[in-house]
Amino acid sequence: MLKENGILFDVTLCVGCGSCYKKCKEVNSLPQANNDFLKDHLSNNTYTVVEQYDKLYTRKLCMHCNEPACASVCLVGAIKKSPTGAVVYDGDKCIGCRYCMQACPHKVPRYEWSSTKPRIRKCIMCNNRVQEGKLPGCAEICPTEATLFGNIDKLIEVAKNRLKDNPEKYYQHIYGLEEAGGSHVLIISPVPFEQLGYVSKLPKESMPEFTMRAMEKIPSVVVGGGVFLSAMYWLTKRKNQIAKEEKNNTHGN
Amino acid sequence: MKINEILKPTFWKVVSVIIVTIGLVSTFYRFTRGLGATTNLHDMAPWGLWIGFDFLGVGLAAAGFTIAATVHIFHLHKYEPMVRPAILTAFIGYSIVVCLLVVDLGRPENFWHPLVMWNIHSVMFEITWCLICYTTVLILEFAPVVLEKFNLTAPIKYLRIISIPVVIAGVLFSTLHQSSFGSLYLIVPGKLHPLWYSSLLPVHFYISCIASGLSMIIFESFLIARAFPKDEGFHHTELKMNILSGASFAVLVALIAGFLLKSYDFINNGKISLLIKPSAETYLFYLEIITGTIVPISLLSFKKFREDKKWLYIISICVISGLILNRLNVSITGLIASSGVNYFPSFDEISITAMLVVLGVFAFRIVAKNFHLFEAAESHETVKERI
Amino acid sequence: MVAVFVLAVFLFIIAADIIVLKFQGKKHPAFATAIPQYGSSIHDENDISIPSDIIISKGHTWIKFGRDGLADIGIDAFGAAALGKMSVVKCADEGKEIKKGEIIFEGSYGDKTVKFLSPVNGFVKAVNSNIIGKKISGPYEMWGIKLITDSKENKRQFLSGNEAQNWMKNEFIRLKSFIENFTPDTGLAGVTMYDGGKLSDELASSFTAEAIANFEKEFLSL
Ligand code: SF4
Ligand code: SF4
Ligand code: SF4
Repeated sequence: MLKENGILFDVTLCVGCGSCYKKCKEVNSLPQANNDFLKDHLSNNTYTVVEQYDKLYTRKLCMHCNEPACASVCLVGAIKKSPTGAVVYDGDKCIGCRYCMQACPHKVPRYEWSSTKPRIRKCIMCNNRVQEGKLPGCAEICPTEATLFGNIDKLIEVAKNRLKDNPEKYYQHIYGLEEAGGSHVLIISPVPFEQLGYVSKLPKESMPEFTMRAMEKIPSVVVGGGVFLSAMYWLTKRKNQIAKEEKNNTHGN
Repeated sequence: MKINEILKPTFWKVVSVIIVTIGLVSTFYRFTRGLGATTNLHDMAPWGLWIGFDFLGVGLAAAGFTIAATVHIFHLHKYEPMVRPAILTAFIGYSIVVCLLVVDLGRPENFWHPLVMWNIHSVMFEITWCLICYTTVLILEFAPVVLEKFNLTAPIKYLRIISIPVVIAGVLFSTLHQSSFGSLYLIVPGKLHPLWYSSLLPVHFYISCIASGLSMIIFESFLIARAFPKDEGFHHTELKMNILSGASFAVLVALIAGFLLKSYDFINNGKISLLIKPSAETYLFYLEIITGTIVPISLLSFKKFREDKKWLYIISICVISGLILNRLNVSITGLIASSGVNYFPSFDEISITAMLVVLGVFAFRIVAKNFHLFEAAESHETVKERI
Repeated sequence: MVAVFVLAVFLFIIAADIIVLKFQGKKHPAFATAIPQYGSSIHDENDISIPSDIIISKGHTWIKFGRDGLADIGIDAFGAAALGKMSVVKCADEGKEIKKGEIIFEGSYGDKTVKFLSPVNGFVKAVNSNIIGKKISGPYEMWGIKLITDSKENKRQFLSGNEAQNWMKNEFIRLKSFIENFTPDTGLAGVTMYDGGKLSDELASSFTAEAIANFEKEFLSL
């Protein structure tokens, strides 16, 4: 966990200005789709949204899972977990099977349905900007520092301290720390997370775990099955032979 | 075949031509306008009818490996007459599946990427490779039929030598990808309705494909007897009831195994309470279990029904219906609740699917008419066994 | 919903096909009263059950070795019913020597005559004149000929008990495809032959001489 970066979003600090929404579109050259940013939702031209729940505002974006389901299912490896912590996408490899959309526990990836050369679209934690030494668009623009970008271990520390220092202000849970094996986007809020439209009740194991349990049986199935079938082939053949010989004996000629 | 005989319109010919024409237009739109314009798929329902149909096609084509194993590995030569139709069915079924997959891909021109870009952790990757390998196996298994038509005996000899390893490989590849279609959904425990989600999904898929693949072959025997009648000059197309009853017994065993596994799964994971929760999913689940498992098991338990062709026909339809419901429930119904949107396939999705099915049937017909599909040249063993 | 839709389409097509066939005046094979293999009297369990003291020759004659050194020989259930009810036309002459493979009976199905071959060597001691011209009903009670035969005859080439029954079952199955291949009009065969599950006597009349010769070769040779 050396240089892995992440994002910490603090619902209590967010004022719902929508700067991150606009800046994200700007840095990723995504077209403006909706005048009222609060009414927009994740789509092929929106990587992040600001949503209003009563007096609270929260953001939705790709969680950049530690062991991303989307990357594990992508048969051509178009989605990858980069060493910087971001989960990035290579549209030239993608064949468009959309298994990543199906697999993502946070229902994040979107697809360019109307295009004839469609791509998967989702937040990539501004990986290019980060590698150039800049902050992600949303973190750079955020006026209240509700969105923080930095080393993931430090962010976890920060989040834990905030929860500890202001127990009455925060709901005592860091969303993203353990959800689906943990992620590189962490969210803290004053209310339980299902009230903010997050997918709750996610298992603690990473999603690829579920598949691995079945996949790791494959070698033994192949070997065992191969041996079993060969044995059966030989045995039944032998049995038929013996039966035939016996028949021949009993019938003479 | 005289030209005017081919052109003579019959009901199904007219219907087929209409379906294929519409399907071709839809295919054209699909590739020129993209998925969004022609399908009802969207971000919350990324997989639809096409993927569901792939599940069906693969499940129903399972007889290809079960029958091949029965005859060549377990040496039950009684079932020899089923081998060729089963392998052809499997091949055509898989061809339909592959075509549908390509149609469904957002970037069909990149379909070859999995060959060079590997991610061995992906179930989809494993399925793709198994599909490729198994289709090769099917070609090898069916090649003798084609070669013998053109009197090319030399290659047949070589194929004979490798035939057993090929059959074994076919069984293994099938086992892997049939179950892996279930594994595809292992990664969505939160999304797939718990009535269907289970860590045993791959095993469920494997067992049910055996039952339904065999039922499909039984059903197909009726289709063959109906489509290639004796008075049109076909031989050996009549119903071979002793074989069909034997196969139906295997269906019974597989269905019971599947049912026991499902019961175990429900009891062990405390899912019983789900059964009394009224919801659309529950009703569909009951429909699936009753038509696909309970009714066939209770009928097949009686020898009388196993040996009566009318009932066998009805039972095979039941089992196939059960599979249709099961696979589409897993791939579509079970995901609706968690996605929060309703999905129903668009006209183009349906017409392209229908077109591919019709073309598959057509391909089967052509092969059946031109090759020795039914009078399997009896292997030496068969002849010897009969003495 | 999609699941129900696809299922409905599937069932609709099956139903439509049955209706289309009806319009064409044909019957779907699943519902046609075609040739049954099970459950019809043609190979009812009763019909093929074989008394334990009887052995069957592959030429469809049966033999019962008596204690007196005489062998009763008759025609088995298959021979008695294969192409309709059979009646015995001729038996080998009394007092004559007969070799294995020589003609021992001639029987007729309607207007077609077939020959049965003697399964053993022997000397014809008696002929059952009662059976000539009659239709065979209880095949294993109606002996046709008593032979004095070398009792050291290799009994192993004959079948008995379960094995004989299975073989007989198989013969009926073989017969079915034989009939299908040699009847010019399947429709006729389907209806007349197994009318109500019973064999009809007219079946043989639709056979050509060549077909009968083939039948003898396929089923009555030793
Ligand atoms: S939130 Fe979804 S899209 Fe983002 S990394 Fe995790 S699995 Fe992938
Ligand atoms: S749609 Fe593209 S990125 Fe997503 S899993 Fe398929 S190939 Fe990978
Ligand atoms: S990290 Fe970059 S891509 Fe992701 S939401 Fe922020 S600005 Fe958009």
